[in-house]
Amino acid sequence: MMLLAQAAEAGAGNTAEVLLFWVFAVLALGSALALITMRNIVHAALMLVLNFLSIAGLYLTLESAFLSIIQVLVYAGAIMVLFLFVIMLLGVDNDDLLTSEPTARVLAVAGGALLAGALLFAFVGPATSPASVCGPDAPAAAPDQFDCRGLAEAYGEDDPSGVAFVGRTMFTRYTYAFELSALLLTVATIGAVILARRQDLAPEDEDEVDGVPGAPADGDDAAALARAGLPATERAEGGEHHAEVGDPEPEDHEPSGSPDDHERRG
Amino acid sequence: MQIDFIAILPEIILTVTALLVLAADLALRGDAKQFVNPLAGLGTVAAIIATVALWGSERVTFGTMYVVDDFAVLFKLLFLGTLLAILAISWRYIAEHRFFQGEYYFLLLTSFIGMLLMPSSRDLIMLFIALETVSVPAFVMVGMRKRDLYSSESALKFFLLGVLAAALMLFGMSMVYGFAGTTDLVGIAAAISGETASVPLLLGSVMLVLVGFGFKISAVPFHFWAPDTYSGAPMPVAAMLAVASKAAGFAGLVVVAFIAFEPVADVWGPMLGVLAVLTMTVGNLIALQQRDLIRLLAYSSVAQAGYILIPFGLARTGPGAAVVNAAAIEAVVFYLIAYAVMNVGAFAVAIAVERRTGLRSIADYAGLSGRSPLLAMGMTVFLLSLGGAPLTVGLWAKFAILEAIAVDITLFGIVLAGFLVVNSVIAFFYYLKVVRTVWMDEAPAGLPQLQPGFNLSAVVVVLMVGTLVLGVLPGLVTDFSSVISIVAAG
Repeated sequence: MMLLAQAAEAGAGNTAEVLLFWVFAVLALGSALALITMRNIVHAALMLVLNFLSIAGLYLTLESAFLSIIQVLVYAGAIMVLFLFVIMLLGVDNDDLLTSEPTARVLAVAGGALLAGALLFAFVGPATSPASVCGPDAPAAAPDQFDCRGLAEAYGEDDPSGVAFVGRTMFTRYTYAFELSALLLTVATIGAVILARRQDLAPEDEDEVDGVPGAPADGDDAAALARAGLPATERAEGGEHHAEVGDPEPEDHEPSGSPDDHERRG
Repeated sequence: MQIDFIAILPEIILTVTALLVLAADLALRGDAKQFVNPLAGLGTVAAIIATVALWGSERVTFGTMYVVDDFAVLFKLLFLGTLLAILAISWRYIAEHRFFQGEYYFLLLTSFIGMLLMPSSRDLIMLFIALETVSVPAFVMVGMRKRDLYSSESALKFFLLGVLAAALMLFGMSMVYGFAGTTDLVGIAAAISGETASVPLLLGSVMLVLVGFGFKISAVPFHFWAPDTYSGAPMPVAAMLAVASKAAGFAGLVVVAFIAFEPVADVWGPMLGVLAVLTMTVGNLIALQQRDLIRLLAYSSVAQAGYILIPFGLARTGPGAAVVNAAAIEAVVFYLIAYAVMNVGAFAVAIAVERRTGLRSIADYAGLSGRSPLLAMGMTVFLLSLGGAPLTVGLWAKFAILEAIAVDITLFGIVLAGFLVVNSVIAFFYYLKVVRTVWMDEAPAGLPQLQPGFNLSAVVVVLMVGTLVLGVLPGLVTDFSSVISIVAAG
């Protein structure tokens, strides 16, 4: 944070900018803290919106107007609205209020504080010193290496908001990664459809799901096994084991429960 | 900017195949749906041809972001070969269990697209996208046996831990970027060399990035998901996770460690070495106590990941480092090839036995030699090879690691070699236990006939022959001095 504050100061030397930085920074951190401590999931989601908005403000102070607007449109707008819809559709009961073990909470706070302390310590030391690669005293630009240009320089004169810069980068060097993210989103959609689909299959596909109780569809072999007095499925899977120092005796679980139970949930 | 489409042709072919598979699944009805499998196989063969054509050339495209050299081509061939084997062992398994067939093959192909990207990526963003393209379809595939609570549980575990690892890695990457001012791997190496290399923040972020790969290869503090996920997932998916996904993790680890973080190799080298010792010891000790074959294979694959991590422990920086690092990478690549051959084989046999009966505990393999000599032979060869017996490729794989250690003998190297030997002996104990059950024990009466089917038998035979031929003539794949060209970049 101090680094960012420094950047803001160095960037413009403008008091309004510094003031805005502190407002947004405090808002972002505060809403993030509130987000993970709120017990009501709707409140937490709203805190996430606030967090996204204040980060959009931070982008603005860093002279990334385009990124800031995209952040508001995509994250604070589209994605969070979707989140809220899902939460609303699933319904929030009092049972769903998030609770945690007191010891777990203490441990989490301690661990978080430790991590934050270590990061702050590490950041404030080298990253703000001349040793830092792109610190205040960094040399202008070695010819065949990356250069420590500020955003304004990278954008160029005619592109104050960075739109052309973002576009150029995304459709030259990062084209492949960009196209692949499209594939990734397709996968996510298909995955969500597969895992969330219930009984709404077309008639001829019906048994595609119904005939599969985890074991083979045609039960002759399973029946033969049962007759032979063998455990039908000796699945020593021991799903609950955490494999800490070995699970010598894999438990025999109940056969996965009636399929309907599983399906009706959610 | 010119895009070199030849360089990305294998990925394009696989993408088109994946989309065709998805469309074909819509058009086909009932039993005909299973014919999306040969369609996917055709696409894979086409991709293999396109990849082989790239051998020997060095193509750079998308700025400096994507590099296709011999190192990448070798890995791509390894992945595509594994894909072919997994398609073959999936066919009847998936058709019989009547999963969402089209979607399954679509996800499988997509996951392999991610793997093809991994060894070519020269940018943190590309590496992250590749890693996610490997993982996200796998999350879904693990959970495909929706009616089985195990499957759901294992998918959830895999997902949550996977997302945590990805988040940690992204956090690390963002700090590395903040430090280096670039996401280009070569640029990072240039930026972090020199005096700035020992800054704690930088080292911390490097560790965070390595955690993400550590999860992928199920190295020991991050291995908790592996056994549960393997045993809950459909078995071809478990084979995919144990072999291809792990090899992809190693490919990414090689690229990021030996190119971007080469200047700090003195720090991550010993660290990964310690991780290797932990991984193989813990994996082997827990594997000793397993009664379920899939869980045994899962812990054995954790232990194998430990062996493959050993060469990383040898890495160093400074003058004379290039020789050591080159030998280390060579050992990793060779071990991964050997590991893919033998481990896919072991999973193929397990699928053949489990199919239609659901039998998978080690006791169920009693008398397999009488029920199906081919499968029994196959299991024996694969397990002995995993253990590192003579006449199998497994021995040479371990030998390659020792060879890498011998390039420049250090005390740490000797310790690593000691752990490798001791662990190999421990591993033999549980591999031989299964082999004894297969050959010595009496088969319980009333078991149905084993019908592995043509595809499975073919895979088992081909991989068995591969294990033995490479065991006699390891030179067939060890001779790739050009593969280690990436060292020079570091």
